[in-house]
Amino acid sequence: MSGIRKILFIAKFGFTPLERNLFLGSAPLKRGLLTGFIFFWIFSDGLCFAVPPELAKPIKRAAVIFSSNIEPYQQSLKGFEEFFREQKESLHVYKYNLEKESAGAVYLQIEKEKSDIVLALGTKALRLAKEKLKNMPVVFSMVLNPEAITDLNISGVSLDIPPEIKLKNLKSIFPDAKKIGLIYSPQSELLYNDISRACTDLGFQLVSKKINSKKEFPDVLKDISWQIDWFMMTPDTDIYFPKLVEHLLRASLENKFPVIGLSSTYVRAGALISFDCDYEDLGRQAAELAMERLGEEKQVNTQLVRPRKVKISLNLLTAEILGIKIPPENIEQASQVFGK
Amino acid sequence: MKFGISKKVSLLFIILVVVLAATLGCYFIRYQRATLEDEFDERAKALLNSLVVSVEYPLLVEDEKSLQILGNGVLQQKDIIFCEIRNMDDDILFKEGTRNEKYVMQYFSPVFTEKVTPLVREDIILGSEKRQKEVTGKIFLVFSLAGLMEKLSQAKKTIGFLVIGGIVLAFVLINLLTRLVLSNPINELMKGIKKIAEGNLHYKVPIKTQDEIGILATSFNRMTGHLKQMVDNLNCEVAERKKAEELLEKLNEDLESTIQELSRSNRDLQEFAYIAAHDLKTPLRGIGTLAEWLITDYKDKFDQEGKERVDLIVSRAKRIDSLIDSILRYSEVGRISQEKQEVDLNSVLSKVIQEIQPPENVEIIVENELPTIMCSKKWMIQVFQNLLSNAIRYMDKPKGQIKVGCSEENNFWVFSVCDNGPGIEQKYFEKIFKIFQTLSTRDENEAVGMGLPLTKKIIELYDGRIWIQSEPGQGSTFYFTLPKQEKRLKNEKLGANITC
Repeated sequence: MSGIRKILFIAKFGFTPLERNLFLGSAPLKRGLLTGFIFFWIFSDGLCFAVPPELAKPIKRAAVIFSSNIEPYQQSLKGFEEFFREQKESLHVYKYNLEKESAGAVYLQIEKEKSDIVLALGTKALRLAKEKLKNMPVVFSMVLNPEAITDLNISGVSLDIPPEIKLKNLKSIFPDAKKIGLIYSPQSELLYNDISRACTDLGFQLVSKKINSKKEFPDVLKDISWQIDWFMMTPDTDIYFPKLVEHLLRASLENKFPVIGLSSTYVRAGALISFDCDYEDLGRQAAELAMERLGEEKQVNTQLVRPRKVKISLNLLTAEILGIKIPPENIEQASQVFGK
Repeated sequence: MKFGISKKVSLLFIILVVVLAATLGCYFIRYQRATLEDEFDERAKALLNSLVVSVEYPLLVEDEKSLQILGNGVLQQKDIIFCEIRNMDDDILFKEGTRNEKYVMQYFSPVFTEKVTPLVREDIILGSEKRQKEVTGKIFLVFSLAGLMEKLSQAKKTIGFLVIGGIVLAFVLINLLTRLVLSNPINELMKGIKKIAEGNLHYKVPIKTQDEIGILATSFNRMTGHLKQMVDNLNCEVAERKKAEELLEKLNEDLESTIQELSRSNRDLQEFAYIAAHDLKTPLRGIGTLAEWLITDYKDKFDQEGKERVDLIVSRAKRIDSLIDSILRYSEVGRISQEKQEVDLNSVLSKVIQEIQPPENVEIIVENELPTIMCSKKWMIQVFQNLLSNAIRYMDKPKGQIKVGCSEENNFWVFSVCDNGPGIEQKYFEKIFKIFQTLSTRDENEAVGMGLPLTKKIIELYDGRIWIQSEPGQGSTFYFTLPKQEKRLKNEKLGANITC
């Protein structure tokens, strides 16, 4: 029971329910002591549990839509909530999982609850938000190449780490790296352009080959593998699938070229290094965008931001097999190190 | 003995061993077959799985060269005679080998690969909890079973040899064992039994085993010992009995000799008594006649005393005559055979009463009808005459009463002659049946003491019995029995002896 409610109760009845029983059944001396204790308790309670400042502000209602139930989405939500807490904003979160509930049912519930903001985690959630929640402010996170799915009411953080960031980090750790190998398909042609530009800017030589079918990958890899220092993977679902990744990693060990993986999962499987997003920070970024949206009275243009923090993962066993030395300070700075 | 217990036991064990060996053999063959088939199946599946994993990537990228290498590599493996790899459109990418062998085993497996959902591209970075698989091709492998069949055949042969070897070994061992444990001890036991049966009770069965046969042999030896002891005892007893029999025979001979001697003496005595009595009777009669003559011729010359003395001579002569008659009759009984005939005792009794003419004060009452029996009429008359005469003679009552009766008791007629005379004290019951024994002086009743002994002798001659019941002053009752059925009379034998 809070101090205010206790005061209201005492104003009405003269004492709390607990003290009421004690008070009525005691002697005058005891009654005096109890009265003193009650006054002390009321004032001390009032001092200890002062009304929090957020009570003064209205509670924000956020509908969070998960594309699936994977851990990175939870981490992102954690960052989202932490940011609101840090800003002393009261946030009430309603969670929806598209793996468990249908898109229609989720939409109806969000409409019913009249959420102040919608957080879409993943492509699937963003698609639902774009198609159904046109009149609500939406922020997204953990979406790869979100450009095609945005709208006026949608802002968010992409999952794509800019190639220049990756390459800068690579150069800082492995200054001898010069030739970067890349195989791309029409799906990842835009990304190829970015990489190509970044390589030129940072002094890397890009050895690339475009393929139209994954069937071409083994031969193309064989062709370029002897020319490159590093091989960079791209998030291209037309090329990369588990078996091919396995083949690539085996070829990297056989032909002595390190692979820049798409995430720490690939580093654990045998890639030498990966540059991952900080998923909690992605959530924070999304929360920042959400705060902006909630603070604005009129609709603003779409805001797409990129990850600002990069985490490095390393595989020391792969490095040992390939004969590559990694500076100890980089190992210490790495967020995940495999093959110790 | 053609088919002894040891052979039976051996046969039983051998049958058991054969059945067991056959069962185990069958079981091992089946087990071996199952094991080989399992091994074969596991190896085939392992090869197939290995090939599936190996061809996953070449199939995805349709690397026919790699598939060729992999397919040919698989065909190099033992027992694989055919390999076919197809892509997801069922196009044949590799096909080599032949599948025309008689015994083959076919294996098939689809080739799966992990599917990536194109619409959710961030999964390529973040990973996905849902991992779907899709079929990207098919593999057919055909394995030849020739090697397996050969291995199985080899295993069958090996197990067969082992089973036969086991049976032969078991046969030899069982035979040796039964001979050692069963046959030899039993033969020894049988040999012992045969020897003992032939009479050699000193033989001991030489068995040292501690088993049941050993216990049996020990018991048998103990039994033989007891038997020997019993035979020895029996022999001693037989010898003793033989000796006793010899003694008895000798005694019998002596007894027979004595009996013959006694019979001869008895006959001699009877002959003597008869002859003496007969010879005495003539001079006695002469004395009597002379004494009567003296009375007749010299009655005037004798004074009273002389007359009395001569009368005394006459009366003594008559008594002696009477005594001699009694002795003659006594000696006749049993000495001279009497012809047996049906004798109506009622007529006998009537005749006796008529002859003895009882005085008026004595009444003779026949209580019931007497039977008809096979006997000598003369002796029956003598019996009744003696008993009735005695009753009349010693009657001391003014009104005497004599009752004659008869009853049946088992196989005998029981006759009674009851009087109300003076009675006899019990101490004289035996004495009265002895010859020349009287209870009063002879002068009082002129009795010679031969009546009752003669009666007794006649009754006993017919296998009967005579006795008395009496109390002084109460009268006497004489009872005698005679057999109902005809019996061989003692005097027949005696008579025959005499005749001889």
